[in-house]
Amino acid sequence: MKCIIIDDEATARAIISKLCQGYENLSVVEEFDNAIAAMKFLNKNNNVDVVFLDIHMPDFTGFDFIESLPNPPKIVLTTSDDKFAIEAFEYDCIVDYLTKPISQLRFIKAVNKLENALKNSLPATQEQEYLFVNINKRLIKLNFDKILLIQAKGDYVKIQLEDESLVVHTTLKNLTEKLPSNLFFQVHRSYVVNLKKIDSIEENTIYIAGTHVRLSKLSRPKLMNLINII
Amino acid sequence: MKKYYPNLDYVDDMSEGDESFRQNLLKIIKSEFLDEKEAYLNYFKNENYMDSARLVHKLLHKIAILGLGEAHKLGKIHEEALKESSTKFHLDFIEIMNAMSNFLENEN
Repeated sequence: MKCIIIDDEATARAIISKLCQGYENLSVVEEFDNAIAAMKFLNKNNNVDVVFLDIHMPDFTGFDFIESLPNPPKIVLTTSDDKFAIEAFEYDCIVDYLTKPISQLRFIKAVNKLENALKNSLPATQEQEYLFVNINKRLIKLNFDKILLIQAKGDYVKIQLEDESLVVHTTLKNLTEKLPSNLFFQVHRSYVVNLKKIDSIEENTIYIAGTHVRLSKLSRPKLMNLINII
Repeated sequence: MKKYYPNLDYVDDMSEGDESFRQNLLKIIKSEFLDEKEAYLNYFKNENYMDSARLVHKLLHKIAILGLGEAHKLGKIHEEALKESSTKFHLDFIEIMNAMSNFLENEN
């Protein structure tokens, strides 16, 4: 998800940018201290998926900004008070409403909402259930449901399947971009796991088919949000 | 006179041990706070209460970042009062800003 941040306060922009850094699939392409400059940018760049938008800005409010866009991207409003919450949800493009200062846990929920909103707004297509990897000039089909986990190894990745493992010349980031985000999750700098294959989680360790994988401190709350816990 | 005790719990949580980010964020907070405080005082001196209220609103974020919950509530009341041209909470707000100034001056 490509996002921009619009806030006249540098402190807020720094915090939102830092929060975005915790997500592989969320990249901040530009920051703006006023809505007019952001509008000009969006007129030239139609590939922005998400806008983190401050409501209170001099001259041009966040709501003025939304109404000026013919096809607004998904919007997450950021504000120091909650009195605009009802008004906010009159706009279909507004996905969430964050009160400053934004906590990490609250931000995780906003990103989950964004992922769902973007997924639901995509035209219905046949879900891809596999990908092809190039090994020794041979393209090998890999069904997603056969993948247990993927480990980064420098310029290579090791894909652990149920009955074998494959080493592919690519980066973990490149491969992850080809995987469905509702099925695969990066639990550590060097590991992506298939959520359906997790057997158990204990403290900062994930167990999958007899293998244990480290769970980073940053990824743990995100993972807890993704899995079904009673 | 109410005493205010700012803290950096939120900044530390956000930094997650990233000292470079922590220092940069503190630098931004300090610099922006001083500018906003000065702008607020100028607007107030010139009896431009709508712009004073706008500056109070901007300062609310930093008040909350420094863990000043009670001060944040008072700031919101002051913001609304200023929009009605009431200055009755101005001195209380000055106390909050002074506590923040003193705290930020001593933080590295």
